Amino acid sequence: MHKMKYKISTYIKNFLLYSFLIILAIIMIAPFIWMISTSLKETGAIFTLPPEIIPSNISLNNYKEIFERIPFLNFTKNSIIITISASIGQVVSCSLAAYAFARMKFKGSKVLYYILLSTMMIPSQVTIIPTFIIMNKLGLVDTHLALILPACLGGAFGTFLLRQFFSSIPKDLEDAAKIDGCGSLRIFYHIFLIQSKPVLATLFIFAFMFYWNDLLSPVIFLSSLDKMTLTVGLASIQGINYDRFDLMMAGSFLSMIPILILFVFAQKFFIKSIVSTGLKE
Amino acid sequence: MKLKVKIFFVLFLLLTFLLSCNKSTDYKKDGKIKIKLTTWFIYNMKEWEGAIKEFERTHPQIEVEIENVVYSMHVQKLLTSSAAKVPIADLIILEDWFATEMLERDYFIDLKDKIYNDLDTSLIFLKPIEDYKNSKGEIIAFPNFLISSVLFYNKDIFDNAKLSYPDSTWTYDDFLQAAKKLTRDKEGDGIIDEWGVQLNYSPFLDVLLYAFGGGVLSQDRKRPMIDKPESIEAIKFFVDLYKVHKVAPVPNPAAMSNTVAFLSGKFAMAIISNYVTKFKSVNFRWDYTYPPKGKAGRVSIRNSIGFGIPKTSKNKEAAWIFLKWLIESLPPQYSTMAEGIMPNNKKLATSKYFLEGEPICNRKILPDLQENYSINYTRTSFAELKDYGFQSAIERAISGKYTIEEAAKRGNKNIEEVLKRSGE
Amino acid sequence: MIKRWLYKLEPYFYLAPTIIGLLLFSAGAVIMSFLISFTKWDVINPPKFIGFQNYLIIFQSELFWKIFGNTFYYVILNVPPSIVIPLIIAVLLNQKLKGINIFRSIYFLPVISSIVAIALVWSWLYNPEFGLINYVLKKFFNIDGPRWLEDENWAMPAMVIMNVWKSMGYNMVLFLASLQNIPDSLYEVSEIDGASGIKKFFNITLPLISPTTFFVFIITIISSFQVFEQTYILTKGGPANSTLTLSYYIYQNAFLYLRMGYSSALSYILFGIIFIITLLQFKYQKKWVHYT
Repeated sequence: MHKMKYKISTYIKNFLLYSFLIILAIIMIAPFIWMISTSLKETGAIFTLPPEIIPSNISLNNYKEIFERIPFLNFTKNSIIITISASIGQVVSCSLAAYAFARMKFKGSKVLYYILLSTMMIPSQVTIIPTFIIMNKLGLVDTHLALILPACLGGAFGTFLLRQFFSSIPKDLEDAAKIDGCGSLRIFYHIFLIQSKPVLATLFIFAFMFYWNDLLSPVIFLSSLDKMTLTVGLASIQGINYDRFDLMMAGSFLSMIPILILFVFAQKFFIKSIVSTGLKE
Repeated sequence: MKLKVKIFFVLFLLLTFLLSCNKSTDYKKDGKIKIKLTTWFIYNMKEWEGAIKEFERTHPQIEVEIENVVYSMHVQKLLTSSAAKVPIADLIILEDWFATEMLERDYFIDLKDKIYNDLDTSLIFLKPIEDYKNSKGEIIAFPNFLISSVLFYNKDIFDNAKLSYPDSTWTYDDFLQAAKKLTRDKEGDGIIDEWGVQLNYSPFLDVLLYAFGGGVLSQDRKRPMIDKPESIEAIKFFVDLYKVHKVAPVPNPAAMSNTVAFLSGKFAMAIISNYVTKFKSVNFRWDYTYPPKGKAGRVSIRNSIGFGIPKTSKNKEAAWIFLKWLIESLPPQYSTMAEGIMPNNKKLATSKYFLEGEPICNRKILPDLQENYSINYTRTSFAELKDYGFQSAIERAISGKYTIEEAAKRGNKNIEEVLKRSGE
Repeated sequence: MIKRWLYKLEPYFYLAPTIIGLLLFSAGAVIMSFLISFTKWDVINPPKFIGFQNYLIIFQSELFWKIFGNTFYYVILNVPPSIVIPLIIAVLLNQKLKGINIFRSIYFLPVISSIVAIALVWSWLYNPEFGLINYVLKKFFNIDGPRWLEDENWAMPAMVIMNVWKSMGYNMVLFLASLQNIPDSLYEVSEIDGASGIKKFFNITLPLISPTTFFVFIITIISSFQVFEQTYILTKGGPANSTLTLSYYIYQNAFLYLRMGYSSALSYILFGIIFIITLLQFKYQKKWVHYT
């Protein structure tokens, strides 16, 4: 009797949980279904009422047109090179800095930290011109390095994120390692980095998305067609007004695919073998 | 493991550094002069490339390179490059509003002498050139392509209602009558399926203001005229289309361009700019004609897209040779290279290729419209006037927050503030 | 002796990339743009020094205070749901349930696409005549939906809804990563003591993820103050300036009206606001954030 009650209540709990999750999933995914559906429609057909989820004439014209109008593969290659390099650069430089801020005591630590965080608070519209002037003096205009180099030199967001994480790693592991005579670099690698796989993967993905979708920097710093990134290519398709909705949806979807692939691979960093919270079975 | 990761990372950086070390090409190569041109007409790339090939064939000592700029960021690009003294191009594409912003900033070379000495001025529409003239009498760019606001209409909707299409005899009364007959709730479910009119602030409201005898700015473009009685009448006509006659939905303030709404096929009429390339694949029949006649006559708002030669260009003469060729000697089969708007060349505008270019529409009215009925009120701070001028006041008249008189007064005041901010 | 000296310099080796980056890029850009705020500059011609005039004009301008209010309105509307909802979802997803990974991936989808693409789709969804949202509201719930982005009172909430939808996955992933660092032993021990689900949440979970919560809080506030793309695509500040936020006005002044000096001044006012609020957050974090 007691066992049955227990079974029913968990059954109801799970049912409610799944229902909620499924409804939320539909809300999350609906605009994307709309995006893909619009990208498969012909220009005249995007305004039908009632809105068609599955187009009556599925047409790949928009995708064809994108490949015709811009050197898609070349742009994608450029985007991949820049984004991966920048993301790796971010993870490495931010984790080093975060470790120093989280665990080391040194003069000016607080001030430097606040200065670093302040760089997040200034709108890019006003710093883009001075940054461009500096890039020009460094001779980096119209090179991929102009986009990669700043990423390898730290970042406020990444450092802040990792520092919060590193600060919550229990000190006893470190103390044990110190007693064993480990240097800071080994502690950094074996204790902090290994323990923080989920958050490092998260930072990598966030950085990847930021650099992948960045429009302002490639437009300003690059000018040669063979160096252009995908975001710029897709933006140039927009034309003067946002008229070709179907085309833009197709472009946006194409642009999402590499990140989707990346996320699927990074998924395993998010999984932990044993997991539980209050709602236990 | 740690070492491997380090090595991999260093190698990756090296690789990217090497890959990105290409030097950008020099301006002078194998004796040819190379000029760079910016454009945003990506939908007409074939025409642009064809035209350039033809130019290079007849001018073998000049090579032209096209740079496709992202329209929404072309000003940012120009400003950042200019601040760092990095050359952008020899021929820079710009719209009239940006040209007027650049009039007094000493950035482009004066084309006045070149235009009046080198070009056959009988071939060109001269009024638009005045839009690009600054206080010193210098002409800073040439308007190559002229945009007019025209009355688009959906032939299918007119046919279904058995109404005759709009023509050059129409007044705004005819316009209103037709709109009433064409607004229908086909299924009786409370949702209107077809609207008579698509309302938009630009150019439709501008057209109305001037057609009713009022206007946005005075003739000298120094004072606002929104609270003149004629202007108020025009605003009332605009707002009443939505509020009283219910032949139009609320104008969308920003998100979608005006053409998008008409593209949907749910509007019988729309007064919008005559870009037509996007109408190639719609699933209804359409055309355009003259805007209706108002009390003060027929009005069409003129905008233009042109090219200027920056003072930083190293090949100004070659750039002018190309520009002159583009104006006078463009082969007619490329005359639709600007999404179907009219080239500033009377011969080209009346050529078979332009008149019968895809998509086919009533292009033959464009020269007459441009010559006799087009009005332009651009001036410095035009962009700010558009953003902070009278549009928000009219939006409130539409939502009912202001009366029309209040909206007009408020709009006038806003324009005065903008003009003051720009140092008028 | 040398070893001790090296040991003292150690942090600076770790911070070398960051310090180089700050000196090379940020410092120059920040100082330059700060100086520009005291000039009148159209970028094309040399700047003209005008002292505090830009700031004076700003504080006396009615439009500025409207923008100021709009920006705070957006922040206040956006921040609470952007933190609470992802937290709840992260807790729900932090379980060994069948198919939980699929849900995690789906909720993260909106984050992956560019804000431009999302804004375009949502501008379509919000369209009162052709959009899906009002269509569904009318057909299934028989409600006449508002005019969303065309209505002065609904435009800002509409923008916030879209933004919460988009960034839900973002903060959710951060909370998830943090939740997974909590050793199960802690929960098991408290269960032996008879703690219920809610008690466990407030006494174990919340305190242990508070560093992440703090991070999410700060980041969400900063990005809310800097909202730009959404305004640019959805409303361009309308209708009737109801969605005009500071970041967008900064952009307009810099790149449409060629008033770089004025734009810089506005940027530093925005910076000042964000800085002060963030500083206050950092000062108060001792009260609720628990580091080990």
